[in-house]
Amino acid sequence: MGGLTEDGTDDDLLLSIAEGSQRAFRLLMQRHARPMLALAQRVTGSAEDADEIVQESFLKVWRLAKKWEVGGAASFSTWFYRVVLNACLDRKRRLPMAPLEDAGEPVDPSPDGSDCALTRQRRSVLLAALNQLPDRQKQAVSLCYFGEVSGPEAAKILDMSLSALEALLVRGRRGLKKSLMKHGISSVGDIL
Amino acid sequence: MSGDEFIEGLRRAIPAPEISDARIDALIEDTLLRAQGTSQSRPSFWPKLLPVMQYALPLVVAVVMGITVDRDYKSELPVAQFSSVLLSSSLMPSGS
Repeated sequence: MGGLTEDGTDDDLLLSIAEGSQRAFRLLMQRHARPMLALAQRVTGSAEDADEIVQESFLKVWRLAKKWEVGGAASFSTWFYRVVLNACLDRKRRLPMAPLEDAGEPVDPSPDGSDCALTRQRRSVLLAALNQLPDRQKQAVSLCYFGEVSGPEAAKILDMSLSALEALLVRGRRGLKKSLMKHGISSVGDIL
Repeated sequence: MSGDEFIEGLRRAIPAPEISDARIDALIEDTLLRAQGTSQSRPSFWPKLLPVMQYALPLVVAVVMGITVDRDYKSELPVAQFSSVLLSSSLMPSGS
């Protein structure tokens, strides 16, 4: 394990992790923790939930490292995005956010940037609207708009063609707009 | 509102969180600690057996059929008779 460096590929690290190398595990986490935490926090809306989800996902890597197929169909990064995203959506499903109707009265569209409570309420309306989308649309929207990954990469993560992903995104945006309009949010600018 | 404006609005509404180095370090240390108490699962031997297993059923069928044929027909159908049946059922080209 002495030759293990930060330049090693994810597959190299996974081979070492499969042999029980904590150093390789640390390097892998240092490489992937930040984007995964950002995605999980944006999707769940909670830093605590994001920490827990990413930690559980890394432990899954530790447990299953021996089964990892080097040079398999998916890269580690693609597979790991999928694991984290599914964990986020599972958690939201198990602990559903309050339905949109519970988010309160329709938002007064008058500009009032200083009202933090109102901003939080509007964001929770947006997260609730996202949560009400069908699963595949939710995954596509979360990954492409909050995951900071490119379209082709997102298509790989979701195991679909680019055109299928684009169609999902169109339907997802339409669904979000419809939910938001019900709450008097005719423009996403109103949420800010 | 165009699709691009909507997407930009969404990203601004739920902005990318600031993830501090301290938070990442804490997460890594916690995870390493938990990993120490977690055993790694061994690779399953079934995938290695799979190529062999695909012959298992035909082999079993062949053995069972062999026993059945052996018990029921061996005394009645000698090998010579079988080969003559085979020859007589073959289409022989007739020269012209």
